Formats: sequence, structure tokens, C-alpha cells
Amino acid sequence: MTEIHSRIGNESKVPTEILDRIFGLHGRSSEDSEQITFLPKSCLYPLLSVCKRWRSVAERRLYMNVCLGCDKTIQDKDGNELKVTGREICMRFCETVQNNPCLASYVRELNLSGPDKLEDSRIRIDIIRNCKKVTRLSIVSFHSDHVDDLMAALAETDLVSLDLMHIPILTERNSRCFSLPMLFELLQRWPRIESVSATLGKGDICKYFGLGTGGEDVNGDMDFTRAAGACPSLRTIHLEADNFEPSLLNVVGDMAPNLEDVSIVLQNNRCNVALHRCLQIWSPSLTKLAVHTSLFVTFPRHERTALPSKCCTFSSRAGSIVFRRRIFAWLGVGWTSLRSGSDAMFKQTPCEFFMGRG
Amino acid sequence: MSTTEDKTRKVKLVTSDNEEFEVDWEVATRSVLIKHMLEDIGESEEQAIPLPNVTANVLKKVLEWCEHHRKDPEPAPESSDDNRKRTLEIGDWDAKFIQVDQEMLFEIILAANYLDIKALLDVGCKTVANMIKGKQPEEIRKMFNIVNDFTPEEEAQIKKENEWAEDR
Repeated sequence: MTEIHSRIGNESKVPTEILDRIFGLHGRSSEDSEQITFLPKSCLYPLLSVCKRWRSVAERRLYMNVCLGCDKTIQDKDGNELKVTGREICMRFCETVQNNPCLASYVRELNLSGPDKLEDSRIRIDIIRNCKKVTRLSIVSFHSDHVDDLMAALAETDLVSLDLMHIPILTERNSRCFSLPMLFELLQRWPRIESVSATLGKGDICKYFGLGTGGEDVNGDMDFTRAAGACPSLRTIHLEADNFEPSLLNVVGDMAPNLEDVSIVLQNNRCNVALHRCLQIWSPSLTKLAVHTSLFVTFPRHERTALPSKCCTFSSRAGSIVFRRRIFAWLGVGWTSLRSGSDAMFKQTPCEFFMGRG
Repeated sequence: MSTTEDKTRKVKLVTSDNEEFEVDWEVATRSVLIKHMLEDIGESEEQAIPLPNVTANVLKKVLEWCEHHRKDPEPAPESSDDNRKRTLEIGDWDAKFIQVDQEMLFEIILAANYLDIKALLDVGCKTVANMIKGKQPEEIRKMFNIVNDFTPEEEAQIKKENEWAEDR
């Protein structure tokens, strides 16, 4: 009796912030960090039902970052294993955030993945719509019919980080794909945006969106009047899209003048002038640059400027063209203004790269 | 930055139950609170530092930890990403050190929080996190003698709302 009595209140003396610190250790574990996309929240779940004080702390932790999309196995009350699909989990979560705005308001980080079926995409978009305070979003795959809905849902957010992947399998001519202009339109709405990674449509899909993959720059007349300096906080941009035309590259330069880490895929050498201009804009802040190209890209002999192999390194789709000291000199960008240590980040492959001066 | 003079300096600490401890400057300044207080009082070596929120038996234990970790590098400032990187692992010496009764465990956590000793606070929090890991609500209540203050309706609501997070 005495022993029990002496224990009463030990836990209750612990302030909420320490309880939160303890619960924070349960949100993620070391093995989880290897599979950050699907984060099990199993350890926090029982803490919700201990008492009201624990619930309030555990709930915030549980909803702060949410990863949904994969199937999982749970145990029923008889101890039998029960498989729950990713869609069911998403539906349950969606229902909760629709019915309880308070819980929805705790969500700061959302990782949404799973099949790109129409219904799954709709649920994911509903989740984004309801979690209005989300600042970090990763969305992998969604149905092409929901491109506009996704665009509308994203326009309501104020993101700091976006990781977007949309590689549709187009079976119908009218299918839509998320495009770079759409992404740039959104970026201008997010003044706090710091990091963007997007892998968008492939190959011949661009013609459906009217962007073309051929000779002309179809984005030349697009209105990005608000672009200049729209994303002063943007530091990291990784873009993979087959329709990276010079005008779009120029928009990136105007919109995000303080980039530190750039990775882009260029399909042809028509972007050289724009790239040159962008590098001049980014040179005070840039620490890491990778420009990827496709194997099939050729540069006409008369436009080539042969650079000694030491200048830069080349790789095809699987790697990166890496600009080093002398290429910056060639481009007229002052290397000395780049941050120290930048060089060390670059991988080297001994291959010659040609780049037209444009 | 500590000087050679600092390292040989002794610091007096007075607990809430009026017990006085004299410890090396290097040991005492594992506590950010004490370090800042020493900076405030300057060269007044004779002036004792009052610790009204810590009892002698707890301070003794805390100083044992500080003595063992006196040479550790200063911890980096905490960032919002720190929780993502944290594991529940505790070093061998710390694990043995923290094998205390539950009352002392929570007292150490409270003292580490008050004295601003992040690494010791981490050891305490990880210990509690390990204690509750994998336990059901009823087991946790029993372990910490917590009263279930939910109505059956509230319990049902919690279960329904958070069903998506349920796992094996």
C-alpha cells in the first residue's frame, strides 16, 4: 500500500513538454528512417487511450506528420491477422480530418502515395483539402483526371516543401498531365517555399498538353509576370520533366534567385542561353548543380564548344553533367563567389561533354 | 569557452533541502542553467548557487552523471529535425546509471529539465519511452498508476477517429 501510495503522481509531475519529448521518440524510430514514406504510428496509438492528458499530447504527435498509402496488417481482438489496404487507411484518415478540423489542423507533413486509381486520387486530394495547415507535402502518383483538382487543392495550401511525382500512363488522348507551368504557377503562391522536387510527365505526353517536345519554345508567351522574386526562400529545386524549354528555365531563374541546389533535366541544347543566364543569377548562392540530359540528345557540330574533359563531367540519364570550376568560367559565372566546399559535392566521370554557346 | 582557471575552479551548489555540494566547475557546467548563473555572478567564487527545485538525493545522482560525462563535447543546439534522428538506444553506462526506481527516474528527468542538461534529459526520456513501447493503455496506466479519466463514449470516439493509425 505504501509503495503504491508513494508512486502516485510521479508521472503527473512531468510537464507536458517533457511528455511530448517522450512521445516524440515514438513517432519515428531508427529503422523507420530507412522507409520514411510509410511511417508506422503504432507506438503512439495506444498512448491516446491512457488518459486525457496523454491523449492531448499524443494526438498532436500522431497527426503532426502522416504517411499514408501502403497496406498493413493489424490484429483483430482475437489476435488474428487482418490485412488493411492503403485505400481503407486513407479513407479512414480522410473521414477523421473531415469530421474533426482540430485534428486536421495538427497536420504539418503529409506523405501520400499508393495506386493512381481514380478513387485513390480523389481521397488523397480530399485529404489535402482538409489539412489546410500542411507545410510539407509529398504526393506520389495520382489519376490524370484529377490534375485540375490537385492543382486547386494545392493552391489552397502554403507549402514550405513539395515532392510531386506524376508519370501518367496515358491510354487516352485527352488525358491530362501535371506540367511545369502548372507547378510554377503554384510556386508563385507559396512565398515560404524552400524545396521542390518534381518528376512530371514523360515523352510524347507533352503534346497532349500542348507543350511540344520539338523545336519551338511553346511557353514563350506564357504569362509569368508575377514570377520575378516570387520565391525568395526557395533553395532546392529538383525538376525532371521532358518539356523544360528555355522560357521555363528563365522563369525558374527569375522566380527563385537564391537557389543553392539545382538538379534539372534538359532534353536539348536550346536551353543553353537560359542556363547561362540562370547560373549568373544563382552564382552567389549555388553550391550544387546537376544537369541531366538524355542519351539521344545531340549537339550539332558547328554549335559545339569543346571543353577539355577536366572542365566538367558528363553522364547520360543515369548520372549528371557536373559543372566544375572551369565551366563556370566559360559560362562567365564567377566561381569565387560560390560557397566553399561546393566542389566536393560533385561526382566525376571521365567523359567529355559538349555544350553549345547558343 | 572555458579557461584553465575555470577547470580548476570549485562551485558550490545548495539544494532545496539546504545541503551544500562543492563540485568542479567542469562538472557543474554540464548544466546550462548553472553555467549561465556562474557567468552572471562572475568571479564571486564563494557565492553558492541555489537550486530550489532539486533535492540533495536527486542532485547527488545528477552530479554522478555529470562527473562521468564531464569531458563530453557540448551538445549542438536542438533543431526541429532532431526527433526524426533520435533512436531509443541508450549507452551502456547511462543504461546502468538510470536503473533506478520510478520516483527517482522522474525526479532525474525533472532535474535535468530544470538544470538544462539535454543529454541527461534524453537518457531519462528514452528510458520512459522504452518502458511504454509496445504496451497497451491499461498496462501503461497500471505501470504509472494513472487514472483512466475517459468515459466509454470518449474511448469509442478515440478508437474510431484514430483507427487509421492502428497497427499490429
